[in-house]
Amino acid sequence: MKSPESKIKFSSSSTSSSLVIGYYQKFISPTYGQRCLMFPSCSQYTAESIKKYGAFKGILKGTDRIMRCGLDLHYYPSMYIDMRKYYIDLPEEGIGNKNK
Amino acid sequence: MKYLLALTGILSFSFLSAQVNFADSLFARQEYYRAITEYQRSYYNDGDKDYCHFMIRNCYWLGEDYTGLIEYLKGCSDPVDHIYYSFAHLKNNRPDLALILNANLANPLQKTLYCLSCSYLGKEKEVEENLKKINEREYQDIKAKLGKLNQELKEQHYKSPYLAGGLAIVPGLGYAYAGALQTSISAFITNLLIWGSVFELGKKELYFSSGALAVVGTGFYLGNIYGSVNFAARNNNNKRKNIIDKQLDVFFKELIKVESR
Repeated sequence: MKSPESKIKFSSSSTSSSLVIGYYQKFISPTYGQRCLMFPSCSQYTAESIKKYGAFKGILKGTDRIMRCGLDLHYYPSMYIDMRKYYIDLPEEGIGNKNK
Repeated sequence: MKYLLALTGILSFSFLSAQVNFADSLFARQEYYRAITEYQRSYYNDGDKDYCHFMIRNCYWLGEDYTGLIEYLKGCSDPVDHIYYSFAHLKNNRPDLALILNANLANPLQKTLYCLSCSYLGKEKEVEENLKKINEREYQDIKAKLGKLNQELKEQHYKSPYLAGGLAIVPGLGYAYAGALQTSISAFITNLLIWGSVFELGKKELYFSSGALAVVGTGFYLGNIYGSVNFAARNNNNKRKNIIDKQLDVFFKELIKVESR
């Protein structure tokens, strides 16, 4: 069982990573607008991954996503959102994309 | 008084049949969500409950609202309902839940659904073992088809996630093995640039900047390994899923036929 200290450490690292992403999304990202071809955007994907899987796995998933962003798009399903084509890549590890 | 009662009965009957007729017309026009509401009204107004239930189930199924169907059929006991319930989980990308639902291997229907769920999860050996236990005569056709499907799945060439992870020690190589060539180049260049900068900054004795960048570089390096493993596993699962999905409706129809007999 996890000690209360480890829980605090875990949540604080998640919070600080989320703060960095929040800062990026609020102040940096709007300067060049919505460019990410994939849905959700890389920063949103990372934020959701951190929220769901904790800081360590969330950041790994985020860096992996940044390297994959906009590439090998034939592997992802696509859909139109607001008249724009997006490639769907969700952070959930459903069975369709579950790591064994 | 007698006439009044008879008149009330006739009026309520005609009201109920009108409600069902309206729901049927919505169903025919493929307006499934509105039809569900009308069938539910009729159900709670003491209409033909079996028919309403049958139509609500069909509306969810044909409208491809599998989450709604799961919610509607929660706690069902009828075998046909159970087939719909299990297939809704399969269509909803949750064969792990369908597997748990069909863990009672004494029941031939559950045994069959268990094998189908195992196929999605890549448990070919378990499918083979459980198929041998299906001896009921009416299930022999489905058993043969499941065996054929299992054989087809076994013959596929899958990428090993472990090998992808091992190859990813060289940034990008794991992705290339998993089939993502563009991503592999991106991973290689990203890691090369970051780690090149780390060493250059180190050479210029800018240790703080070098250290900070090394932390970022470690994230990208580990992300490359994690991503390669994940990409290979995901592609294997998608390959398996595509093969099974093509035949899923056949299994669905056959199971309904067997259970409706």
